[in-house]
Amino acid sequence: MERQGVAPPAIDPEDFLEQLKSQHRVLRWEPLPPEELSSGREQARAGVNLEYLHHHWQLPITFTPTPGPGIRGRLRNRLGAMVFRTLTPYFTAEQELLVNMVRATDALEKRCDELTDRIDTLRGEVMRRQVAEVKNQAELAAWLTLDRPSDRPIHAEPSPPASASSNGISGGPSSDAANGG
Amino acid sequence: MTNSIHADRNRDSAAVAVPLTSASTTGPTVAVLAPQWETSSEAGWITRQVAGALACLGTVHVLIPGNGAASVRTDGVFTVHRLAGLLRPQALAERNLVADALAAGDRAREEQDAHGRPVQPETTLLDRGITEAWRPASGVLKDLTPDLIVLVDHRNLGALAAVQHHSATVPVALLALDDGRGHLDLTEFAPVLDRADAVLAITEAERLRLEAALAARGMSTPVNRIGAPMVANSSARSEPNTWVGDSDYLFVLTDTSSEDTSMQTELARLLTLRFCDRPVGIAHTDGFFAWHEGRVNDGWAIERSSDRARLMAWARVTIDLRHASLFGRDVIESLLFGTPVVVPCDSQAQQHAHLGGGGLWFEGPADLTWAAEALLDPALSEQLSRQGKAYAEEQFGSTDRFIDRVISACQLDVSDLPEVVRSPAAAQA
Repeated sequence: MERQGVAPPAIDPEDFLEQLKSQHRVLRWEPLPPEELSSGREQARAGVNLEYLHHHWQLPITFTPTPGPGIRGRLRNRLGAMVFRTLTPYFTAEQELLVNMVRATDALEKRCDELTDRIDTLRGEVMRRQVAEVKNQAELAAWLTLDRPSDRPIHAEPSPPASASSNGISGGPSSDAANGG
Repeated sequence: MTNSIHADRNRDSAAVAVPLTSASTTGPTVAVLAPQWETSSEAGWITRQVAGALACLGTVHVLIPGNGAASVRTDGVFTVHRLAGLLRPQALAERNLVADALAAGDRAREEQDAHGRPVQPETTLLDRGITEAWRPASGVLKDLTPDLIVLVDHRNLGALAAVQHHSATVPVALLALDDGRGHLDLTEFAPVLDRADAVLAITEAERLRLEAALAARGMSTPVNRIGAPMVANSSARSEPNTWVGDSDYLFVLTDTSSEDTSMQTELARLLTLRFCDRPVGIAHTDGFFAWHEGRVNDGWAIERSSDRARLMAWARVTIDLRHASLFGRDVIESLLFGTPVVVPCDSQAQQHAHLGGGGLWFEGPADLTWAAEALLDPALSEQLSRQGKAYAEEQFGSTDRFIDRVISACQLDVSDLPEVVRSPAAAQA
């Protein structure tokens, strides 16, 4: 649709305002961008030592005779079996201890991973909060000049009423030229 | 200031002259159906101006809803018929609020109910007793037998009902008074647009909105921009307001109190802080405040238009923080004085800064200060002053052209204007 009888002005205020805004945009205060969250999380479960523990916690619980020639070999096997039987309670207790230590390590590892996840979550929340705070600060910066003065400034002089006479204002004819009345 | 009528007899208007039933010496009888008859609001003021323009050609009867018994009185050249019955003072405001709510809703989704049946328009909700208040108008119209009916306000369904009850063929001109709130899109008000043989718009922005609304309904009713009859009060230039000096001050218009915490008051405070090195005159509802270097002189609120005109005429820039309801009369007046303006971007006055190049507009506090700073530059201020003044004078600065436009827009014949309302020069021509 064409504008009816309205010629475009020499200075287009719309263009001027765009120019004005772009000039001020260069100087506008911008908050620091928050640092990005690291994407890779370090999980304890991926450690080599833990993997070794999971594969080697089972110790031998019986004596395995080594075949050897002669009486010396048989004596060594019998002696070994006897010593093993003697020490079986100790070995059993040690096995139990080892099993529990591996289980405890496993539980610690799981707890460690949970805590890592929790820390990542908290870091994300803190980061989002920081972004919100920064955004708020940017808006506050724009509005700072609107702060109301605590008190009205002291009057320069006693205030006469701003009536037509005191203001030096005199009435003129109304512009209601076509009121017909 | 008296302007003369320069009727252009060779205009290329497609207006069709209304056949007159009255004697040619008295001109046509025109009935103006207006929701209110006052001059305090922009709508009331322009209604009276349009009626005044038509009174140059014929006899104008103004019909307004009543607040009791029927009465007829003379108001200048007008005969005012107050209808019997009662229109509650708040009925129009209630209707506009309902219309705001409807305009803000998703009407496309609500067009059909859950069973796919079309939903009835909310005419009952919008009526607010207005139709009943207009009912006696058909009887008055029957007595008057007008040649032309002017419907005021495109939401005036009550007046339309009275017109339809009187006659379905009498020419109807619609003074739309669209305020840009989206009410033109409401189908509930569409019958008023449908009935109009001609539509009168005040500003170019309103004309474009009306054309779009009519095009959306597949109608080709002519829409004519009539402007407004405004003149720069020459006496305002004779003497400056001594409180704010004779130049280089900012004149700020608000419709809020200096004590409240509304956006307008806060923005006015911002201006006093940012431009503390020059006078800033702020017109609040509770007084006029002249700030300079952190000190303030305050006095009575500005109520007389001549006082306001004087402050505008001498100001470096007029900052109108109000949201003009219809067309921004004060902003136009400022432009006529050659004072550039700064207005809110969502005000109806923004179109004068935009289309006329007479000023700048703002969205927030930062934009406001930048715009005011920019307009304190003499070169830019002078250019925008020239542009704005030329625009305002062309669009609004001539009573003659206004009368001419109104008569043409109402599809009456301009050549029927009696010589007595023309200037001597135009009459000789």
